[in-house]
Amino acid sequence: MDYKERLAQFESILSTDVLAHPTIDLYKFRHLCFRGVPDKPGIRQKSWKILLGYLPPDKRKWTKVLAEQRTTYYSFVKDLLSDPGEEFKIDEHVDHPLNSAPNSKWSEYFADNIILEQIDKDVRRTLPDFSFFQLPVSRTPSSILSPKLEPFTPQEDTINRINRINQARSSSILDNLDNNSSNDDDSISNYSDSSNNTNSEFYSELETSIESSFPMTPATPLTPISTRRSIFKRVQHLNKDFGMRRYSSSGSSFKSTATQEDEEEIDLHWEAIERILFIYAKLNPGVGYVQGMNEILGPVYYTMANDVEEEGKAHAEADSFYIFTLMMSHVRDHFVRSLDMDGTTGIGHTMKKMNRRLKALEPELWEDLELKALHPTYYSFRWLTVMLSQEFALPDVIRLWDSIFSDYDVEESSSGFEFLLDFSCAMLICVKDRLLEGSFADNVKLLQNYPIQDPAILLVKAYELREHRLIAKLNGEDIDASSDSGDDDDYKSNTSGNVYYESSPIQQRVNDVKTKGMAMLMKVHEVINSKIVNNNHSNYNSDYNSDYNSDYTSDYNSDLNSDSEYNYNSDLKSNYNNYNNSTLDSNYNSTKDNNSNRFSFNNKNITGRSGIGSGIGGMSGFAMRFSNVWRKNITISS
Amino acid sequence: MEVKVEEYHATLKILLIGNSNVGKSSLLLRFTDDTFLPQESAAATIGVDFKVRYIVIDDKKYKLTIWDTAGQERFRALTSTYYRGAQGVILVYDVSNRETFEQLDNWFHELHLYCTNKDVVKMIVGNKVDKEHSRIISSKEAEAYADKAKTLFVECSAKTRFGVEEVFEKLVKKILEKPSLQKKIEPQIQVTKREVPTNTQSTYCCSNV
Repeated sequence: MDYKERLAQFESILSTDVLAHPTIDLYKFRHLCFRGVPDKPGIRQKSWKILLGYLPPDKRKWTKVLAEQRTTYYSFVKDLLSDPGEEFKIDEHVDHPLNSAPNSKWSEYFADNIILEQIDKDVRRTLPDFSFFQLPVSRTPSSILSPKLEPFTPQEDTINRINRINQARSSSILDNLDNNSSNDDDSISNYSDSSNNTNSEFYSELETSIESSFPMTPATPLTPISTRRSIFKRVQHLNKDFGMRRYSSSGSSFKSTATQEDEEEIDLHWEAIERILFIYAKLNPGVGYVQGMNEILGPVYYTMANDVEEEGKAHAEADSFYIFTLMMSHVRDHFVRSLDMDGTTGIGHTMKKMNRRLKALEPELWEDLELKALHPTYYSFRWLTVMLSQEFALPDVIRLWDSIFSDYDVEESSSGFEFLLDFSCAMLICVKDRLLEGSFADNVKLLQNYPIQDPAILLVKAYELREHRLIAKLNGEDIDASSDSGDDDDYKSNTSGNVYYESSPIQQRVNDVKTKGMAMLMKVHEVINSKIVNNNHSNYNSDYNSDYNSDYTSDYNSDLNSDSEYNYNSDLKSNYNNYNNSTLDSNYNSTKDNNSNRFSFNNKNITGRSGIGSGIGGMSGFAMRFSNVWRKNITISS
Repeated sequence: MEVKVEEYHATLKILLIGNSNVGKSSLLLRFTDDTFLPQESAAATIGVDFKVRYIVIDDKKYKLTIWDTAGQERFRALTSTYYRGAQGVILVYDVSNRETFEQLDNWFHELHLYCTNKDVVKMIVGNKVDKEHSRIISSKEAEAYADKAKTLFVECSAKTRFGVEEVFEKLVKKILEKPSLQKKIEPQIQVTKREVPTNTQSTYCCSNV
């Protein structure tokens, strides 16, 4: 399958022609996305929304789901960003700014300011060598966050029926903000009770509740939410440290009420990120805001804000909020300090898991690192916490996340994002020789300034590792499992640890289970493709290079040279380079130069396969997590 | 900068701690690379950053391995790993921000909790003195605090270079004066692949660096 066929597949899957393709086969779709989402504008935005469960597989529900979610987000902006004095209409004899009682709205307000200051300091330096975040958001008539410039006049001749519905929906969002808050609460409370519901139940419930609360209304001109910029005033004393704000209309005096000036002021992209993070922190007080969340949100927001569709662009902030929330549902525990040393979750657990995986895959390297006391905290903490967003250039991070979002373990038991660990192990294995040679200090420096900037090489290795892991798993062996919990805590080798990998290194085990494992693999692939052809049994790699699944093989072998379009990221990349600040882009220039071949996968000996079971599993977990978000909303907005 | 193992006298481990945004990473970057990134151009440190610089004191060359930790509260539990074996700890505050100065008490508390060696050399560093107009913590006040805490004290500006060399020179000299720390001054494990027993049945012990 060449690039054009691949793109056509994506386009047909994502097509808004609900009559021809009413639902998406998530399993197949994840499989397709796992090898990278085409960079044609508009495709990735939808794909990520689907992969993370923001959009349901049933396309007929998309408009409603989006309308509902976006309305909810805008009500967060409205309710959570206001100052106590104006919003709550608090009697100053009962509550006032000097009230130190814990339940005082004002003391909450001042506590929030501490969080806000931290967020503000960090988001201003989100992807600092990249000017995009310092630019204003595009003024879009249908956005409630960016002020309108001219009356909203849709051009009927260019808009198909679906789009008309979308517009009506998005305007109904705004109309409903002011007059249906009670309806909101009703519909939200439905979800919060749905923790045990399956996915389909969840969405059907959504459908009915939206039907009742979203009458179709015609488009009307919008007035921005008056509180949308209040948080920036609360921390404007920080401006003196930065001087980066390119607009100047907000005066130095503290204004507690929104002014006309405010409404006309346009948000910068980093301010949108600040708002999302603050709202997330308010809704998730157990997690709050932790440094690094801005690094995770950055690529998501960048992707959404560059949507080609007007509507997607207009609601990029709201959509990014939900995508971020869904991502955080996988990695949230990494940010919770009290879980650092927890045995089953938290960053400490994930680092151990990655280390065990390395031990099983590359015992020699693992042992060498242990000997040099190169604790995973020194390098993998950052890799895992911010999902490698600080290690690679933004377009590469985005491509890597395609795979991370679409990878699901064969069983739903895993928390997801397993590919992040595979990829991190691949990063170590790809510099194995240098690590074996290097001293402790050399290695820490090497891993903290990771040398390979072409992720194509790493992706190939990571695909291979994932395949190994899943085969072992199908055979009933979990290479992540700790054979002896004793050696995990202090990372010192001991006899039992040695015995473990001596007796069963993954390569040997893979060979041992090949017959059995292949049989199971075949079953899985029969389901997908009903076609397995093993034409070469001479070695392990060739088994998997065989043509049992021609879709995936051809991507990376035969066809790609014939189609230059498959060269990675043409649109994204040029876009990205436009934003790149010239003073700081020496790194990026070097990657740019190599660009012609990146992700073209002209390696003929690819051993990694698309893998098995990249997409089983429902999304009921997501539904549950979302309902928790909404549940909190009730207490806040009531 | 290629320096071979035998060319330096010893390796010293130094840790930078302090609230976020006080300029720990900038201070280190100025010291190791002689460059300065304005605050809005430097992403927050996640976990820990690590840099190496060689320094000559009394005609002897020392290899400084400097650990730059994340300042946010949330990361402190993990920071404990980094304290292990440190000979010098630099506590940084921002002279234009009182809160970062007041938090030094907490940082001392943590230091005493995690530091394995009670003789570890401590130094308080007031950064950002280039912002003289917005200075809130006077030299006098900070000096009094340092005296009370029995620690070294230096003011500096990563932006202008002022005092940056002094920070590390003063600290290293003090470390070299302490006999209990001398014992620990051995080059860090220089295990190369050849020295690693490939027979995994053998037992070995790894020292913590």
